[in-house]
Amino acid sequence: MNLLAPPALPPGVLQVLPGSGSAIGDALVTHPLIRKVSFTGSTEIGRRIMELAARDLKRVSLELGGKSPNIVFADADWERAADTSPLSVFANTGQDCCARSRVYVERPIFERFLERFVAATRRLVVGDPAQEATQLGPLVSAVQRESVEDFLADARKRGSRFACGGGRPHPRGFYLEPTVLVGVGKEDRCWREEIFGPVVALTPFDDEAEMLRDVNASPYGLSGSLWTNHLGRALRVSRAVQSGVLSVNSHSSVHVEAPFGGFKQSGLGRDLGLAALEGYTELKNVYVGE
Amino acid sequence: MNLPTDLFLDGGWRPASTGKKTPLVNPATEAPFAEVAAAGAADVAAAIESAQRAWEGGWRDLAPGKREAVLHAVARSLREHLEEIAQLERLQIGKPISDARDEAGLGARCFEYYAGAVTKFGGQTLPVAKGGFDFTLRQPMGSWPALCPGTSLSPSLAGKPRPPSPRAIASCSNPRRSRRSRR
Repeated sequence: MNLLAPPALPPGVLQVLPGSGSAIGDALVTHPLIRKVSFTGSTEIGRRIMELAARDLKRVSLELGGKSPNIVFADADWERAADTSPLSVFANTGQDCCARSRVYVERPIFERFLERFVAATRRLVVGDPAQEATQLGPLVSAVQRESVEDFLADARKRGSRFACGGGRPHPRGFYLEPTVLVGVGKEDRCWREEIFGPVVALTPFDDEAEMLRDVNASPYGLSGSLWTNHLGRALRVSRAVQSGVLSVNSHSSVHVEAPFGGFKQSGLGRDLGLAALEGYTELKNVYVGE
Repeated sequence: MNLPTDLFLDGGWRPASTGKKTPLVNPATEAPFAEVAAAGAADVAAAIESAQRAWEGGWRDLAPGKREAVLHAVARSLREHLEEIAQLERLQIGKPISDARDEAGLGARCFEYYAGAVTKFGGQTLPVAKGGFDFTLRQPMGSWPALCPGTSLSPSLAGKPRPPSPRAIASCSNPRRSRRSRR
């Protein structure tokens, strides 16, 4: 495989150093010839990189964690929303910074939405990633699965209801069933923290303003979805949600042509689109006198 | 699959200065399938020096049209190897193969997009004092590392733009160490 070395690419322009953050991360970030650091990972490590970079005022781009909302109003095509929402959180087995892990459903449709969401979740094909039909593979490691199971243990302790999932579906491989929780308290870990696994929590809401206050109470602000057929509401709520990316009547967050990044503790700077080029260049002003 | 397991440093595949290797485990089977070089501080220093040579040696000043051609060549190479990249993602992180193919294609698409963008990105002229002339430039910063996770490498790497800066990429290819990693 020689894909990294097409003849046109000069040596040094692209290099790949696999290694742990603890072994090489600090050396990369603090080296005097490094002018900028781009990091994709957890908010915890992003904060540490920004602190290290601050010593030399190195520029940073950070693409960090999320706890993205999926907001469904009763006027929406909520059946389509319910059918498509499971993959908006369970794709890549939930190991996705854009995972819509908090689902807010307007109360009049909540029970019907939940039933349909759970049915769609049960239809997901969990298994061997080499099979074409597979939709959910294993988690990336045993450690990651244990971390997700800690969240599930907390949900059990706090009395959340498991509408489906929660167990290990296969004896081999780091698999975990897609898990749907209801009755999760707003102070519970499963509501507040990024799980980075196949776990979603659903809650009903009555009042738009109150719902938005809860959505925006999160320290994260990466992505989200909004389902409504009311144009004014779509525009109003799109402005109000504190996130770098939002999809209306869709779960599509990543477009190569459009900026991608987070508000608040979900990151700094933007990847993709022309906005990304601004983050990798310095702006100089030149004035030429008469 | 014939996997390269060394570092890609200064234009070639090299073992790590540490002599250490990181075992990779297929999360779908729990079976180890490869060992990759584990970079150390000396490799980081060598990569940064190489990046600086590339930057000063012509990459910084390459004409936008020529840069466009290089980026398209990378995109073509990614597309030619799309199936290998997808299978590697599937093996290493357990991503379903149909998703892995989509994401590998997205990686190539990023290079195509920025190949087009680099010929259209620049400064402005601004109206300032009478008689003078004011303009802005977008100047490259220099070398930078893209620290990427093991849960979705291809778009994570490719989604960074391609201005005239050389990069030292550190990728966390041991899934067990990337428990907090993401695309």
